[in-house]
Amino acid sequence: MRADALSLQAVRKVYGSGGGAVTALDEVTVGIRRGTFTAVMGPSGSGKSTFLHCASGMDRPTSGRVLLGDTDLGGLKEAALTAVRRDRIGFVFQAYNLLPSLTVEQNITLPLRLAGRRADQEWLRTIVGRVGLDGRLDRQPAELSGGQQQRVAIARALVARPEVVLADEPTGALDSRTAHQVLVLLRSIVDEMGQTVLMVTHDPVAASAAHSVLFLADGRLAGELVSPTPEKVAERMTHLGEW
Amino acid sequence: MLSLAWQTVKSRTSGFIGAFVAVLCGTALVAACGILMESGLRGGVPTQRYAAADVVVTGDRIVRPPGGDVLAFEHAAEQPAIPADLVAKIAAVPGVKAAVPEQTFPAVVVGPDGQVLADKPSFGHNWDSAVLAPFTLVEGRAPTADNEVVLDSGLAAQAKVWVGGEVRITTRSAPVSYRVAGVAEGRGDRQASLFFSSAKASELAGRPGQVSAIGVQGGGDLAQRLDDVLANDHVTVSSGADRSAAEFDDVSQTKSILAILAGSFGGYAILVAIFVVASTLALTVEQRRREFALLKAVGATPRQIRKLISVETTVVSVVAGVLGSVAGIAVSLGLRAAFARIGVVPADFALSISPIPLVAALLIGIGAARLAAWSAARRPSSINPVEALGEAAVQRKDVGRVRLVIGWVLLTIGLGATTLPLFLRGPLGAAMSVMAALVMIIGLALTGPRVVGAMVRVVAPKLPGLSGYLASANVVKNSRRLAAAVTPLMLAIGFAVVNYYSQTTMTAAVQQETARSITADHVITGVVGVPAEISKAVREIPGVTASSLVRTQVITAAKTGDSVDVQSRPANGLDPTAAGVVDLGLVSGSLTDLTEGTVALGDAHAKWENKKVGDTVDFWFADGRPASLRVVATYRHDLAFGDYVLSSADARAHTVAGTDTAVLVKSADVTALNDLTSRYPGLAVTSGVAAQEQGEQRTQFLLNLVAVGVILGYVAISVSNTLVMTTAARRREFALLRLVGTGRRQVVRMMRAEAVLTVGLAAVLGSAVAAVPLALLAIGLTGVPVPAGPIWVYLGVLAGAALLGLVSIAVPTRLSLRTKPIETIGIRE
Repeated sequence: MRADALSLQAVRKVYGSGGGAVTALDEVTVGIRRGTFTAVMGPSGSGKSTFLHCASGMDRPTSGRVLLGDTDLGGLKEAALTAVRRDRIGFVFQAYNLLPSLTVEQNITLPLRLAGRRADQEWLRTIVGRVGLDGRLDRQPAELSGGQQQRVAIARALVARPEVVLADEPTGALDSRTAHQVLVLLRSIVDEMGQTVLMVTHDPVAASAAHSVLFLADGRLAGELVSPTPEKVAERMTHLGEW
Repeated sequence: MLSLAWQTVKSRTSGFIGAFVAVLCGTALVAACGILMESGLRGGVPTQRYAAADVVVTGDRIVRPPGGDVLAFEHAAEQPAIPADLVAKIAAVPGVKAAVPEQTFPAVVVGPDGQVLADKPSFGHNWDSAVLAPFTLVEGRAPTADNEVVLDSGLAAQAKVWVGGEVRITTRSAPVSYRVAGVAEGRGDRQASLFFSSAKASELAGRPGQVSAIGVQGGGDLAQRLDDVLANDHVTVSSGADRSAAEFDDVSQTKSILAILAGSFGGYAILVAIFVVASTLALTVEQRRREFALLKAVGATPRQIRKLISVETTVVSVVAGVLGSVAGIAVSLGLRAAFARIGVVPADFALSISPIPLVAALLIGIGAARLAAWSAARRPSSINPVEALGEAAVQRKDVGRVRLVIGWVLLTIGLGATTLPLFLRGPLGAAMSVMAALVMIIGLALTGPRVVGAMVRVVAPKLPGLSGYLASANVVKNSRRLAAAVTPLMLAIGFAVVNYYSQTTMTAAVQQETARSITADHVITGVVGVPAEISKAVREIPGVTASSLVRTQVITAAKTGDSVDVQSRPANGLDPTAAGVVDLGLVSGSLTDLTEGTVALGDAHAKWENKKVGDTVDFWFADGRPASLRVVATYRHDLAFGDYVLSSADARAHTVAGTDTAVLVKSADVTALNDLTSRYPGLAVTSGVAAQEQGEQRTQFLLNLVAVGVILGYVAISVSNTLVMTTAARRREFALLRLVGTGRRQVVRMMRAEAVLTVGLAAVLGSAVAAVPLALLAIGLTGVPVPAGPIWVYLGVLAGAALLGLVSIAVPTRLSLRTKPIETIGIRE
């Protein structure tokens, strides 16, 4: 087994062609070690979103390789990629994470259902307890607060015991208190359960919850900050230009 | 997957209402058509004259040209007679207890006031055939002498005569006095019946050696055995409900019309159902893009998404289909009532309702929904999961290239086809106009987003005020959404307008040409036709030119490629003297040669068939007997006279009535004519002739109106569905607008501006797509590019479409604005 849960090797992503071509990622090489909580930061237009899309296999790099464990995502067909997303990656989005017609429990077990597998009840209880949703499994998403919805999303991301959890601005739509709780939760699943989490954010406070922060600017890696604090992150960001 | 689907359906009821209503209506329509079709085979009215006959043998009215397929046949308008020899042949078949010949001929009683009693069909028969009903004598005895008659009791009461009294009866002649020998009681009152002695009946029927029908009594599988024995005798063997079709002309016409109509109408309904379900589903699916994107992001395969949509649709369509099938019974009864009202089916025609069409409709409804789901599911299954991360809810993908190309090609073909009426005169030209318009409409539907987008970019910026500014921005950005609303409205408008006005234009052209072509000063017409002896008598008056006019039909067959096209078309019978009273617009030959065994042809038709004067042309008379006649003339005025002008003798000989429709007279002196007609009750001297009913065309027109009406109703439901759904889906947008300071009334006005734009575009496009073919049709028929017909139908169609569009947008807008914007904006998508 490799030490890196996820690694990008010389990944380049160009949108469009000819004169109008935009280079969103420029030769990015990075490894996300197992059992770490990594934040990716950068001003708008720095390539954060593209980074996440390529890392998750939703988008294919123009050149370079993306490895999930030992699997080269570039070599996979659409169906295999879908299976990888379903079984080996967990997703948490900024908002609209849940299917409104399903209950909390059904939302959490959705990836298993799509894979045609039964939920491991013990594991389900563990993660539901972990994210603090005990007794709310029969609720509809519309009955939950924004923070609770994000907890459901995190539980869903964990249900298939993925190798890595990708989070896209998971606190972007939350107030600061709720955001803090969600970040603590994310950190705890790394520290206590050994999960690997990669989070894209533009919020220094959110980023400071991670073990380390990767900075992106103009599609390139612009440094790394280990054991971040909000102040240090903000300072680095100021150097990178407006954010 | 089933439980997942069921849950989505339960919680997203509003999103599925569109598909639900569409499937429900579609299934109801298809079920109704199925019931009508089955009734065409099994329904009918109770038999009146043949209740005591197990089997009735009549002349075969089905014309089936050689080389045609199963569907290449036509129903002859008149009942042909059969040889009297068959009575003996049938009587010899084992199991036959009795074979009774029946003579049927027009016989009308002259009432006490000197007027003919012709409020319902009235026929004379031989008394022997009374046992087939049976008619039983209430009083008196059977007619034996030539001057004796038995009346049915209703007729006797109406004529105010009783046994022993005298009654005047006209049978293709001046009235003759008969003594009432008896009064008989039968069943039913669709027809009046008069019975004569056998000898007299044969004489009055005027067809020596032939009878109208043979009633057979006997047991077992008699019909089958007779069918075998009489296989080569050109007869139809009827039993059960079919007996009434042998008895009543209208019933037999109805049954074949119903079967054909229900078939084509039903097929059409299925197509519309698929189209409507697919478009509402596509809309629902479009509104759930983010949901599908999320599903894909968490690992649903395209197949799973397709499956989800398919199962959801099936759940909805099963429920809707069951309800729709049952509703189909009501729809079929409604259609029957509508058809009865316009005279296509007899008022007493009973439908035959069995579970077969209901089950079939249910299966078809579910099948259509699945097909629609399949088509709607192709897009979301290819959604990029990245969309789940994005924010935008504006449409993205452009219209497919293939779709555009097909659309433009169809538009071009349709536009080209609109010029066909310039070369093809008559009903065929009119039919081509409708076809061309239809092709153009489909083309326009395919290219809709582009056409609508282009038009919107021109028109929208001109909308006034803030509301106009917002509306304009909305429709320009979301021209696809607008096109989805405009297309069905445009389709409805164009379809209705073309269908209606092509027919009225055609009718007006026929009337115009008829008025111009009849050059007679006087026209003798009768309540039940004009006896043939009248025209003879008129011609004997000195200084008078006259001709019989017999409105009839012929059946023609034309080979088109591999198939044979059979159709019945209007025809006329005229005398050799007709040149003095009608202007046929002769191109070649002369009408003076128009005697028995000859025919004159419309010039265009003759050219099409490659026939000229002296050639022989083959077709079928109105009673389905084959004709092989020599062409003596060709003429231009085929709208007024049809493509075939026969000799009046031939025309009369092949109708049951055997009378003239009118006698056309050129004479300065009307008194001699009045003298003549005064001896014949029911005859009158007038100055004009009504245009010939275009036979099938007229029926077809009325049927089209009903069918178009029903389908338009269906389209209306789908239009309002689409509008309601798209408008309701914009709650968040409205809420956002209000939060940034737009007034409630400004939002309403914005939506009204959008609605007006939607309706306006549909009206313009629908009118344009109808105007081109109609103008060209009018040029082809009359030389003037103005279609005929009442303008209020057009205005009514526009008003209906406008009302539909405005209400469907206004109501959901107002409902959406009821909740507080701050609450709405927080609601999940």
